[in-house]
Amino acid sequence: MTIPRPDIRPDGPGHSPDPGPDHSPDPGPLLCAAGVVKRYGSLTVLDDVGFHAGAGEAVGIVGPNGAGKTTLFGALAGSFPITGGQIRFDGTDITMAPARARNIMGIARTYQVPHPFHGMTLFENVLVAARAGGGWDGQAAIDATGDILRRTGLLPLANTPAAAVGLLDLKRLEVARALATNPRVILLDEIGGGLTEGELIQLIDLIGGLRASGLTIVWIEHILHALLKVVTRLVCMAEGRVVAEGDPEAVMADPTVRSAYLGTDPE
Amino acid sequence: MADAFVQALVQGTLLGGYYAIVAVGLSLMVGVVRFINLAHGDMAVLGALIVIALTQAVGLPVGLAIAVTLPVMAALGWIMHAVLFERAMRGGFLLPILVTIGLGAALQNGMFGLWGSNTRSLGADIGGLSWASWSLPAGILVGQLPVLIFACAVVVIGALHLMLRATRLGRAIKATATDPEAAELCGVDARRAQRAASAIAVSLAALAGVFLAMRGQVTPYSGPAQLIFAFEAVVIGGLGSIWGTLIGGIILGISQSLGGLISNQAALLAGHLVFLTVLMARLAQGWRAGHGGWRVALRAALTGRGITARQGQTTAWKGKRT
Repeated sequence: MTIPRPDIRPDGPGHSPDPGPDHSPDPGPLLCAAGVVKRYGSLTVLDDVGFHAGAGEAVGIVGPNGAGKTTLFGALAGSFPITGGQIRFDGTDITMAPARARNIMGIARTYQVPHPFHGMTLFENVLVAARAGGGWDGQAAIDATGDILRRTGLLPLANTPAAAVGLLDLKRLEVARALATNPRVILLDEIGGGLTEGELIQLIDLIGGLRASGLTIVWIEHILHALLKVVTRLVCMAEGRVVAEGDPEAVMADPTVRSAYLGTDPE
Repeated sequence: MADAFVQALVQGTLLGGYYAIVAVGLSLMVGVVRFINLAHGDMAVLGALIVIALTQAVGLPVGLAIAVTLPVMAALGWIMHAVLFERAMRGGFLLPILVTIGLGAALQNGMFGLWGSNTRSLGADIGGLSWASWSLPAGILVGQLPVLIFACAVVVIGALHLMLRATRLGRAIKATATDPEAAELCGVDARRAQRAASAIAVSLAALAGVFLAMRGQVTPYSGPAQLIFAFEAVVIGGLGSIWGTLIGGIILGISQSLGGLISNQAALLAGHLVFLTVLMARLAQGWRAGHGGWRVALRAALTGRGITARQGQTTAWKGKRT
């Protein structure tokens, strides 16, 4: 079952390095969304949202519950068709591309509520992604899976069924599975929630390490101090719109952001 | 009396092998694709009638006819899933049922139109195999054909189990079964996995049909009865469990053959009663476990797994295919 795939991932551990730099005339941001609208019936969840993340950049997304953060991830990852707007990845229009095609191009996401494959061990969970999404074969897939499990601290649980591990490990599994698809950009949805302080430090180390390896990171998180250790730019959303973006401290000091958090829709 | 009892146990167990082969394809479809193909029994009959036609009209040896028919039926399963089932699944809960009932009716009448309503059998084409038997100590006779079918069931189920556990396609199928959306996000081609599952299911149905035609007769209208046996075996063994279908098949086969000791009519009735008892017992267990209402209780009863964290998923993926 080989999937024809463009070999567009110079930084992937399983791929030979790209011979040259980006050939497109204007590289622009790696992942870019413009004027994205998502409506469910009369409910507008995303209202003209613009978003971009450059190659190697780490962007944080904050905002009160119901701001549309996770919906934006769904739009970027192709979980559902959007009502309006355009999404580009590496210069290609992917607005109509299905989730799997985007994954193979290099967009990986994790779920806020983990979606493990219950009947499989953690090893098998990651192996599925490494084979299908990461493009590794045979022994290489097994090695890559082992490596990813070690990096995410899941190696001791490798042969435990996913149905038997706790929430924290399931969140790690989400990251591990996303990494196994050999992504260029990873969308992390509240993976820090519910973790103890010690575990949070491990998680920050992990994500910092991913960033250092050149992976583009987009991270939705309520735990600001964790987020601010990794990201260099912050986007604040409220009621389906981007209300502020830029330098993290400036965004957090912004009066609109403060009212979004402390106003009508408190945490 | 004791002899007859043991004989019934042995025959029932071997009969369970046949039920397991019909049931395992259905189980795969329900477990992986979450799609109930009510034409499954008719697919079995179609496979049988094609093999019969190839053997009796074209003159191929039975083995060759089977070897030709199974891949053709697999291709048919793939195509049907691509053009029919996928669309039906997008139409909500009721549409797959209506579509597959309609498909079953179309198949039955199509087969009737093509081959007429005569009962047909492969019994005469397999020589002595259809009646040869081994005699075991204590006067027990086991037919060679039932033993062959049972062995075939074990091999098929074992191979399917290994395929699901250890191959790339198998893992893709399992991942898709648990969570199609997450599977897609892992780069798994969920559609392809589902079509492959459908192809496997239909070719296994055809294999079962061939065995049915070897053991006895088929008519174009034999399908629904096979579907019911398959369903009973699947539910007794636990929905979506591969080895469970063998256990379910054996339990069903033994119930029928023990019922047969009482009277001929009691055989099928005993099977249905055991099925209902298992279902009711699990349903009662589901009710006692409480939370979740009748849907969860019914689901727990069907899968035989009890109520677990899995319950969220079926609701989460409804209508998710875009």
